[in-house]
Amino acid sequence: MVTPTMTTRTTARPTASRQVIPPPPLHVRRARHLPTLLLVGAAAAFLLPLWVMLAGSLKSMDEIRHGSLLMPPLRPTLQAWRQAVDALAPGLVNSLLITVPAVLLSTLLGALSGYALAFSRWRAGSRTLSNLLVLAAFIPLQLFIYPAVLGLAWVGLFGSLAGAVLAHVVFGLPLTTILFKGHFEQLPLELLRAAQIDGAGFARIFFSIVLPVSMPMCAVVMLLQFTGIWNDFIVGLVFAGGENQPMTVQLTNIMGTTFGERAYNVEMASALFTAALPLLVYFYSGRLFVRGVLSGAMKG
Amino acid sequence: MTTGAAIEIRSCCVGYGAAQVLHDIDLDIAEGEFVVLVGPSGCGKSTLLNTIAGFIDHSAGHLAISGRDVTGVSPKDRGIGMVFQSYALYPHMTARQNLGFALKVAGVPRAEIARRVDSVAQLLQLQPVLDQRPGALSGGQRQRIAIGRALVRDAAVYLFDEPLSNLDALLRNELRVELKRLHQTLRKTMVYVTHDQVEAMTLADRLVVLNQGRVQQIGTPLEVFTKPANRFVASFIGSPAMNFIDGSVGHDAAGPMLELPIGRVPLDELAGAVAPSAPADIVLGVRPEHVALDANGAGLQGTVTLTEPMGSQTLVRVRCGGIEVSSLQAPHLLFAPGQPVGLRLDTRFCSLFDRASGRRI
Amino acid sequence: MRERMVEGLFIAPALVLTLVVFVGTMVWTVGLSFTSSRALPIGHWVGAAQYVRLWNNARWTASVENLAGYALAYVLLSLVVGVLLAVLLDRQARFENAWRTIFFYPYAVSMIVAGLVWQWLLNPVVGLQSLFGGAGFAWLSNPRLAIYAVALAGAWQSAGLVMVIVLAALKGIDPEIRRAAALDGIPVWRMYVSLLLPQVRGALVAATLLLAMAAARVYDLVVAMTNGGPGNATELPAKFVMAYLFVRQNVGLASAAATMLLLAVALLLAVGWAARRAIGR
Repeated sequence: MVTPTMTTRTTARPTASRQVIPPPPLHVRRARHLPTLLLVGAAAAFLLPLWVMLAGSLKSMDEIRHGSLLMPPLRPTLQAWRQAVDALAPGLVNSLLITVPAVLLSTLLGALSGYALAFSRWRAGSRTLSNLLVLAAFIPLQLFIYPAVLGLAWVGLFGSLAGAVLAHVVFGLPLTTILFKGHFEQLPLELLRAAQIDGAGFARIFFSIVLPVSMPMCAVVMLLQFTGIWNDFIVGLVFAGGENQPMTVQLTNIMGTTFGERAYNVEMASALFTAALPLLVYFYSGRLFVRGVLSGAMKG
Repeated sequence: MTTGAAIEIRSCCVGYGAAQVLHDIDLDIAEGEFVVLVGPSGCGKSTLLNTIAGFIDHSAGHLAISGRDVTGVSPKDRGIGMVFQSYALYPHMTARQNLGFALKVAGVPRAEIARRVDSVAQLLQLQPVLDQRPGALSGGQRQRIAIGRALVRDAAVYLFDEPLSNLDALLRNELRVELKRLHQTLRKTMVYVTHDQVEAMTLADRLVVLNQGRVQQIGTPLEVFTKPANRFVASFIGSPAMNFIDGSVGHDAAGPMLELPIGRVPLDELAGAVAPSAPADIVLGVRPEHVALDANGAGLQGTVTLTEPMGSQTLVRVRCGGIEVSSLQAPHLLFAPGQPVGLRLDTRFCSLFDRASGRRI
Repeated sequence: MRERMVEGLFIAPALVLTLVVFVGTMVWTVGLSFTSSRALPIGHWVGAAQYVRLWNNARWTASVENLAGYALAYVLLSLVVGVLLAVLLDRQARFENAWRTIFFYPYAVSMIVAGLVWQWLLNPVVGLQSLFGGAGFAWLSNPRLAIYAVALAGAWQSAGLVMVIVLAALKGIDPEIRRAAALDGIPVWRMYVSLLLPQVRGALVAATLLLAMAAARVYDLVVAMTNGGPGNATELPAKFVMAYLFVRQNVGLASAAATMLLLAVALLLAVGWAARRAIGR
């Protein structure tokens, strides 16, 4: 006979700590994966151009003519790349010669100016100048370009690498100054006061305290300037001069001068070659780059 | 004009019109003195310190440091050293470089810089961390570097802007003692700002109590504590806070006395303060430590409402004559809410204030 | 005092450059628009004659029309895609860095390269349409649709920027709001539409302003993708100015066009500023 105290465990009685929760309904599970699916789809769409360029640059013209640009190269060859590098090598050198000095100089100038505008005792002037620079950042280059050409020609720098560098430095002033100014204004006031008590003057505080402490911001600005200047077309086109054209300008020349059938594979290799350095810099610096762009966007 | 004092402040005002921050500050600080500026937030103590330092210009009055009028003189030429609330150490420099920066700017030869930095480091026990950056150090060590940076300049006057506020309670007490020792060793003039009245009382040779941009009282900690100049000072200094009881001066058969809601209190020792021309409406200030309670009910009649044991003492709140009076009692004496007790005020230590102006009578 | 001089030295470059280059050249350009200058800036005053010629110029009117179409398509597409991507990334917390890298990389690429690659993609024979079997639609040869193809390429470049801006703003919203919404059983899409996106209005306005500015100035992309063709179908104001300054050598007319561009930008800035004020930043 079964005593009342014995119970047969036929049903799983949920204990406090081991409760079985049923899985969510199918539509909820699917929905949870929807964002990921959409993102993957969007990513494919965004990466497509890069893929096409890469694949195309490794194909022979034969493959391109008879296949789709989206297909991977069946018989990869470096022939297109060899031609591209040959054609664009001088452009690469010019791009480097223009970009590196321009980045360094425009960053330095932006830091100096941003510091001056943030801390100078001439408040009324600083404020007006800051506002003018913000406006200048938005105005299209075409408003400045013709007199700028005349000016550079007057000092004999038109059509030279130095002229292009100078143009980049000047046209980059608004953005770099605004970025630095915003950053410097956020520095703790007591840090500057301590330096003042220690006897440091305006210039000394900049070089010994403010600049060393702002190295990350310098990196951000240099990144933005690098991408902007390397990828620039107009300034290179107008100011550098025929023999000093940067890669971006040479690229359009390559396209424009082919008669008959266009060598798509060489064009793609050329485009990829031109975009390689900024892309590498971008992939390597990621977060820093985004930070810079956001700062620039929100200041305006 | 100059009196040989380290700092002279006469009728100093800061601010204009409606935005006036400091009103008519008069203060002389002697050489080697440790003066503490104390008061609630917004009272102007930091403003006054920054005015002495030269970061804020005074709009009126006279300010002299070491006998020299410093109006318009920049901070670095005033012969001062300053320790900031946030330490403001240069994050990219090592402790050694932080300490030596001012000397480097001044063009002092490297050997001399090393010597002075090492001597200050020794004074503040900073030798082990000299080659590290502030980011790698604790709050206490950073504070010492900040102090060291000021000391290395060998200035005449040192200014401290709430240097201990960013530290936890334990560290605060430790460094407070060190600062006092430092002052005793160096005997330099120090002006110190704090909102913590315990810090103020323990560190100061003299206290300057400020409220709403005006000096309320200047005196030694003891003076300020036992003879507060007005109601504000009496309520600000001393913890737990003083009891304030409205009342009026009167006479009865026994002589002059105070008519208070809690009862009549003979003036006794306070009598001397009450001249015939004294106002009738007054406020009696009595600290909880000077309110005696008798469990047997001797004295003014009251009922215990609340007890707050604080460990070393117990704060007992008593309802008497319609108002609440707090009394500080030894911890072993037990009082329970609702218990009838007798109150006695020790008039030797009471203060009388004019009810209208708040000033001490 | 020496300190004043030092400060002056620091501020001098910015001051001089701003006054001479930014203000000075702009004023000069606008001034030139009232002259009859052709190859050299030595023309005489002609009042508003250049402006009359400008608006009678078929290429210019086409440019302006195209700009309207381009700007509308470009801004809308960039905003929609950018916001969608931001919302998706907001839902999907993992690998955010990787996703962001993927959607934002077009911004690191030159617009010349972008124009070129999209030119290939839109090739009717071997481009995207090869997926759907062979010779398809020649987007870039179609005068009515070419400008929208350019807008597509532009949006590919800029959607990432919108995404970054909006995502940053979304992250700044109090997380408790989402928890409260989840507790109240509000469906996800509703939460975004009614609760979260309204809170990032400031970011959306900023992004829209940036996009509009970029649209007004677009030049590199068009040169690389269609060079203005077919005919005037993808001519745009910035390109018009450059052409008349350096190729057709009509400085007066080009300056008038540039001034019109300036007015457009000024108008956009004013609208943007007013929108910011209305929203309360």
